[in-house]
Amino acid sequence: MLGSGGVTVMEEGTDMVWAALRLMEFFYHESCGKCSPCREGSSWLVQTMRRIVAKRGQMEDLETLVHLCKNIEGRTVCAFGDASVAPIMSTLKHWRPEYVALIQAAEAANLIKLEPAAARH
Amino acid sequence: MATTTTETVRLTIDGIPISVPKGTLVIEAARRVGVMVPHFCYHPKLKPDANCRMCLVEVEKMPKLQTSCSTLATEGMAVRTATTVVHDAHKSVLEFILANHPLDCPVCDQGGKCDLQDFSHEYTATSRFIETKRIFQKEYFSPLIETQMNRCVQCLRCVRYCDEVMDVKALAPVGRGTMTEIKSFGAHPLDCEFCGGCVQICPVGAITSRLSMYEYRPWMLKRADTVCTFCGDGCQITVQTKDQELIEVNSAQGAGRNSGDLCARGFFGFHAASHPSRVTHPLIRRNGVLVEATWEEALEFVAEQTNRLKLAHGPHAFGGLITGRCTNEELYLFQKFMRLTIGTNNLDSSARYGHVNGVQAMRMVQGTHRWTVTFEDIVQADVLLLVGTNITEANPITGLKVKEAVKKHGATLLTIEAIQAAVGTISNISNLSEQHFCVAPSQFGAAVLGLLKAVVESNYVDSAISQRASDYVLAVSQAVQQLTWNDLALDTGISRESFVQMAAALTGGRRVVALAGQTLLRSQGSYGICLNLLDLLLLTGKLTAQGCGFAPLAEENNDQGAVEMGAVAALLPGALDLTDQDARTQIARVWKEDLPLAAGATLIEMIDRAQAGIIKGLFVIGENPVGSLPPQIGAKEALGKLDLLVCQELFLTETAELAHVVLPAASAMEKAGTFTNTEGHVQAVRPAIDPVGDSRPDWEILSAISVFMGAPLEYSEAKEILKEIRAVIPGYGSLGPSPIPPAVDRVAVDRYVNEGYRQDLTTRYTLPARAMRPEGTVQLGLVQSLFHSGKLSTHSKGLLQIEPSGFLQMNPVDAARFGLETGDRVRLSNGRGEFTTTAKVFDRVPEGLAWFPDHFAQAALRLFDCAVDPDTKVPYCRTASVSVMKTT
Ligand code: SF4
Ligand code: SF4
Ligand code: SF4
Ligand code: SF4
Ligand code: FES
Repeated sequence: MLGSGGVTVMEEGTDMVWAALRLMEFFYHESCGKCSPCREGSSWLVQTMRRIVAKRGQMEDLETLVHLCKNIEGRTVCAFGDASVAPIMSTLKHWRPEYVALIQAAEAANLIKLEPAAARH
Repeated sequence: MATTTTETVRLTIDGIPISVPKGTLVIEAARRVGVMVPHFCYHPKLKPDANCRMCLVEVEKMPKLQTSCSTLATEGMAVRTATTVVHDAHKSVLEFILANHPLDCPVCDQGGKCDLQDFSHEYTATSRFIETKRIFQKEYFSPLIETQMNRCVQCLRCVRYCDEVMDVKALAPVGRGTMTEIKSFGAHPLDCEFCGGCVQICPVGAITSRLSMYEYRPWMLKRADTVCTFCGDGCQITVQTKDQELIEVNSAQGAGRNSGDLCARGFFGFHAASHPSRVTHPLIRRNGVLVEATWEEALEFVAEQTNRLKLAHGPHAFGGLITGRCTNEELYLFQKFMRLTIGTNNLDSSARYGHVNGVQAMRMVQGTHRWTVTFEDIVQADVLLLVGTNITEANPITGLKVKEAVKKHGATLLTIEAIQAAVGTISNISNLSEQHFCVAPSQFGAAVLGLLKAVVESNYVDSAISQRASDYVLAVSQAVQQLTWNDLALDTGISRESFVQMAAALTGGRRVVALAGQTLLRSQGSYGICLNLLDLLLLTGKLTAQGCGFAPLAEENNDQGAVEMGAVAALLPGALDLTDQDARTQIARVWKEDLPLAAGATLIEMIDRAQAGIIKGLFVIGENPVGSLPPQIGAKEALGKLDLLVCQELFLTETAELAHVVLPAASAMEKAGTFTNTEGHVQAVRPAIDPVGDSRPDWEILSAISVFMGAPLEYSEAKEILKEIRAVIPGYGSLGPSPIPPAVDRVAVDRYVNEGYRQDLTTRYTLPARAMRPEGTVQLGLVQSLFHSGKLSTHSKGLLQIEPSGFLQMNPVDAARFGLETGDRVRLSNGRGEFTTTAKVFDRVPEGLAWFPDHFAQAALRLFDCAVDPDTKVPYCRTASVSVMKTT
C-alpha cells in the first residue's frame, strides 16, 4: 500500500524510492501541522528521503526511517498521520534493495556522510 | 450554567486506585496520585487540544495509546503511564518536538524553568535528526513581549489562553506545518491587553518578557510571594530579584485569588518601585527649599513642631491623609497616631474618592462593610449585573472571573456603563453582554431607577419581602410610579421594553451578583445609586439568597483595608461608627486611653479647614490632593497656608513639593504587612527588596515620630501591629486561601426596611438632572486605563512603553463633527480654563462623551468641577462639559 486507499498505476521500472518520496512530499505538504508527530515527522521523513534519492544517504537512515514511521503511526490526532507513513513503510518492505542501491552509490561516491541536504520547506 | 457535580468515578493509575469527580481528565487524575504525565499543550485553564501528543498513556481495553489530556476518567478505567510502550512513545514524541528545536538554552530566558529541557532531561532524549532545522527570521513583536519562534513547540497554549481566558484574541498561528509561527492577529505589532499570560503559559522560551531579557538565570533569583498594589483585586505575585534589583514578576499557576492570572499592571508594572526619582533621604525645608537631612533631624523637627502646634492650637488643628496603598498595619497605626498621639478624628484615606460610597450603602442596607460574596460566587453566578465599570480595565482580574462565568459557564451578563460595544484589541466587557445599556455616568441613576420601575410594574417583587416589609415595598412602588417611561427614555435612551427585559433576566437568576465599579462609585449621586441597587436586589429576593450579593469594586489595593482599619473620618477600626459605645470601650481597653469623640473632618473638609486657618498641621502619607483634585478646590493654596505639612512619600509629588518635611517611605516591594482586597480577603505582603535608600515603611516612620513626640507607639515589627489589630477587631484576617464572607445581617435589613429607607428615599428616587449639552461641546470624563493605576504606575518603565501619555478619546461621529482625526491636536476649554492634547478616535467611546485617562490628567484638572456628596462626603470631580476645537 502506498497511500490512502487509491490505486496508482506506475510504469514497470519506476524508481520506487523516488515514488515514495513524491508521495511523502504530498503528505508533508498536506499535513495540517496540528500535532507534533505528523508535523515534525513528515518534515523529517521528506528531508531524509530527499537525501537518499539525491544519493547522499547512509545505511543508518533506513533504520531511522522505520523508527520514525512507527513513531508517527497511532500517535497522531487523526488518521492522516497513519496514512502518511504507508509509502515509506511498504516501499521499504518490498523494494528495500532500491534504497540500498542508492545508499551504496552514495557511499561509493564517498560523499561526506553527515552533510545535511539543503532542504526546501 | 454552573453545575457542581458530586458524582465520582473510580479508576486506577499505575495500579493506584483513586476516585475523582466525573469529568476529570486522566492527566489530572494521575496528578492527584502524584503521577506527572509529561505534557506541553495541556493546561488546567484551557480546553483540551491534544496537539503535542506528549501525554500518551496506555488505557486498558483501548487499542491505541490515548492522550491523557483529552481522555476523561471513567468508571473502572485502568491507566498505565510507566510501561515501556508509554515510555517509548514519550521519547519518540519528544524526539519529534526536538527535531526542529534550536536548543539555544545558553541564551534562552526559559533555560532552567523550561518544560522541554526538563522532559528532555528526564527521557535523556537523544536526537537522530541530521536534516536541516527550520529557521524563522526574527521579527519585532511588541514593546514588552518578545517571540523567538524557532523555539516554539506549537502547543498553541498562548493562542488558546489569549482567546479562552482573556477573550482578547490577539494571537494566531500563521503558516502551515513546521513553518507555523505565532503572530499577532493582523499585520501590525502586537496590540493587546499585555496581561503577560502568553509569556507565563508558554512551556518553552518562545514568548518571553522583554523587561527581563537576558538579565538572569532563574536559579540566580530570589523570590518573594506578595500582593500587587495596582488595584483592589489583590493578585498574588511572585517578585523575583537579583542583588536587590527587581527583575521579574509572575504568578504561579493557581496562586492566590487570581489563580495565577495577572493584568498588565501586575505583570509589567513592577519597576515603579525602583524608579530613579524615588525620594531616598529625609528632606527639610530650609530657607524655602527642601534640603537633605538625617532621619534624626527630620523626626526631631516634626515632633517639635507638632508638639508646639498642639500646645498652641489643640489637637483639632491637625489632620491626616493616607493612601489606600498602605498596609493594614500602617493604616491602623495612622489612625491610632491621629486619634491617640494627636487626639483628633480629622483623618481620611483614598477610600474617600469613591469606595466609601459602596461601603456605606452596604452598611446601611445589609449591615456589612464587606461583600457577602466572593470571586467564586462571581464565577458560579448565573446572572451578573455590572454597573459603571468596564471591569476588564478597572479591576482586570475580577473581570476575568466575570469572563469565566460567561464564557465557561454560560452566565447571563447585564451591563450598564458608558461604553459602546466595539471590537477592539483590549477587551470590552460589553462585547460579552447579553444586554448592555450604554448610558453616560450622569444617567446611571436613571438606568437603575428604570430597572426598579420595571421590577415593580412587572410584579417581579419577591413575595417574601412584600409580606415582611409591605410599607417599604409600597414606598418604593409609589416612588417609581412617579417616574415616567418617557422621562426615563429621554434620560437614558432606553425603552420600557429593554428595562423590562433586563429586569426579567435579573429576577430569573438563581445566583445573582451585582458589581459596582469606579465609574459609578466616583460619579455624582453614587451613594444613592448604590442604595437603589441594593433595593433592586432586596426587592427581587436576591440580597439574602445563597450566592447572591452586591459587590462594589475597590480601586486601590487596600481601599477596603483603609475602611476596615478605621482610616476614614467617621469610622473606627472594624468599620464601626465613631459613636459606637461598645467599639469605643473595646478600643480604649487596648489603647489604654480614650478616643476623641468630636466628629472628624473628611478630605475636602480638611482642605477647607486648612484654608480657613483652623487646621495648621497635616500629615500626608502617600496621598496627593494637590495633584489629584481640581485646582478650584484650592488644595494648593490651603496646604500652602499650613504651619506644618509632613509628607511620607515615594516621590516628590505636587503635594510633597509644598511640604515642610518629606520623609522617604518604603514601597510595598520593601515591606511586610497585609492588604485586604476588594472581596475582603486579607493577604500577606512580603518584602522583595530592602527599602530603597534611607526609606522606611510608613508604620515605622509614624512610630518614630510618636517616640520623638514623647508619646511612643512602639512596635518591633509589622506583625506586632497585626496582633493589636486582632485584639481590636477579633479574628481579623484569617489569611486562609479564600475569604469567608459575612452573611447579610438580618437585623440590619429589618432596620432598613422598617425605618432606614425613609430618610432619603424620595431624593434617591428622583431622576438626576437631564444633561443639556450645548452645541460644540462634549462631556469630558476621567477614566481608568488598563495600563495604569493612579499616578504610581506612571513611574513604571514597562507600562510607559505601552501607554506613555494621555489621549483625548472620542467617538468617530463626534470626531468627524469636530473635524478631528487620530493624532490631531485638540483644545478643550470651558469657563474654568483650557487644555490642549492629542486626539484619538476610538469607537467604544459613546457619542457625546470624551475620555481622558486619569493618570495623565494633571493639566486637564482645571476644567473639572467638583461636587461633594452630602452623605458620604465623596468629592465628585470626574466630568466636565467642554468645547472642542481642533488646533495645531
Ligand atoms: S525553550 Fe527550553 S529547550 Fe528550548 S532553548 Fe529555551 S530553554 Fe532550551
Ligand atoms: S509560543 Fe509557546 S505557547 Fe505559543 S504555541 Fe509556541 S510553544 Fe506553545
Ligand atoms: S499578553 Fe496580549 S497576546 Fe498575550 S495573552 Fe495577554 S492579551 Fe493575549
Ligand atoms: S492591577 Fe489588579 S488585577 Fe492587575 S495584577 Fe494587580 S491586583 Fe491584579
Ligand atoms: S498534553 Fe496531551 S496532547 Fe499535548
